[in-house]
Amino acid sequence: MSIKDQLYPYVNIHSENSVIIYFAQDANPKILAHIDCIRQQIQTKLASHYIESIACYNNLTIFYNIQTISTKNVLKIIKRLLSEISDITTNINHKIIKIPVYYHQDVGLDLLSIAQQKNLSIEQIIDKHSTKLYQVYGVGFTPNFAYLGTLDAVLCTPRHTQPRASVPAGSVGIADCQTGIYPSNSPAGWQIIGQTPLDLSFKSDIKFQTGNEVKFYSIDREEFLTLGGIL
Amino acid sequence: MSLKQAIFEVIKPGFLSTFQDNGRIGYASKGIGRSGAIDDHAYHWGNYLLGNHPTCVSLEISIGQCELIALASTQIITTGADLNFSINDKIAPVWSVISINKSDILRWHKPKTGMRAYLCVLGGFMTKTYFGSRSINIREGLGEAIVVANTLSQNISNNFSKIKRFMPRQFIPDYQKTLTLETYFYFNSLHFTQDNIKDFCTQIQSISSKNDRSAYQLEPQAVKPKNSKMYSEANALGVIQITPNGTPIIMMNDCPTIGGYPKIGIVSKQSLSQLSQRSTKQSVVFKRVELKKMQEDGLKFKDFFTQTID
Repeated sequence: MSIKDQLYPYVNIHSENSVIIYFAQDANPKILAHIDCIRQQIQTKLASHYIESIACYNNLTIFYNIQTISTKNVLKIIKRLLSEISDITTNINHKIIKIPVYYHQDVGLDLLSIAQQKNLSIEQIIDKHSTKLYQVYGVGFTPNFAYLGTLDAVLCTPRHTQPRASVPAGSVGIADCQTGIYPSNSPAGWQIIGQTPLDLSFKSDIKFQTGNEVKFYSIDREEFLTLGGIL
Repeated sequence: MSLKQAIFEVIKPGFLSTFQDNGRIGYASKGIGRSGAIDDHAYHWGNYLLGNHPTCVSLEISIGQCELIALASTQIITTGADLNFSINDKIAPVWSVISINKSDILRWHKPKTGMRAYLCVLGGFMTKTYFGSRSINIREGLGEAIVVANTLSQNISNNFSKIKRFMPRQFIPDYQKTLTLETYFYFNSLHFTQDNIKDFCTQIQSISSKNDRSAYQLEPQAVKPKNSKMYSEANALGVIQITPNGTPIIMMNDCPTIGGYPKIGIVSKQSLSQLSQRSTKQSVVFKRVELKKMQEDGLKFKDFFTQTID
């Protein structure tokens, strides 16, 4: 069986206390909304057996309490639920989070090299990165790190082959056709094009959720410093 | 209100000494992982033998070079690795409850057997809680390892049982022998065939130098996925990821909540505890088990230690 022949949605065992559901071959905002809708229904059905879930791109992982329910029963409940839902819900979570970014080589370590590679001006890169409305396709890897997509095709750039040992919190990066913000100082393989002065760590009031939308806007050096940015 | 007293001062922190308990659940969708004692077996036996509640916080001492001076008298136990543990330069027993006095110097020098020792004090350590757990996760910014001159506090308000127990010999693991990792292999993987899995099970592999609280990599390259292209998805403790070049990576307690490599199976919690006591070049083999058996063994273990709560 190849990925192409697979019928969606389908459920697999994921870990000792989790199962994973794949909803489609490709991810898009509609699928995300559908996943969120099903997640809520599974949570309701599993009731106290439900522990938590992770939604990401085209898939959803459900963690459950193996002390109180068997894997067999969890699979049965989920399969039945999936067979009953036919319509793809389009009830998208329209919360838009706005993020100011200082796009400049002072903080965007790869801004110049990307501009050169793509034969674009820095202004064009800023314009292409900040015009689009991005979807949060997943939150994880590190606390409050949001996987955002999809970039304008021109901006898609592979990760560094050798990750940097550390980039400062707030660094805005690109990896293939995704973009994201490092919420804390972190080793980083993504191409860094700017930095936000906002605190996005787990202590921040801004908490990304799969399904949210994100809009970047360009700020200058002075605004960056006023908003608490450090150079 | 919790009462505490200063119980140790740190003379040498060691390579990596962090407070750990059972870890945190319920925050994975925010990117906050599980953490917790990487050797669940040694952690639980420590609290149990000392008569502590099974959720008490222990100090997980990795590799050694750690030295503490006692600031008061109390009872302690170290379980897990024998890091040439000594008190006032005299060899002291592992897996046994010990009374210590003010000014005693406890030292974990370097590994004799195993990699990680757990220090439990009566009532548990008193430390800061992050998202419902006192486990430290440095990568996630949830606390720090202990450092020189830190004062470590003991919780003296916990109700602890007066019962002291002896460790049954047969439950003290041998960390030197080749480790058999009990593993459930997915039966309908899109990335691996059943023949791939069969091959994988017949190979003896060894632990690479890339092993830490987040993950253990194995070598040599074992089995290549048919197709590595996939969207990122949730990660979990015990999951074996295979990189595009065929390197197996076993997810441990501090693993990121999301990962992007194909998975081949799941290692049991019991086996993960034993794996965490091993280091570079030690051998491992995989043994296929049913998911149900793995879950039942895990629950039996958990039940044994939680039944002791009054």
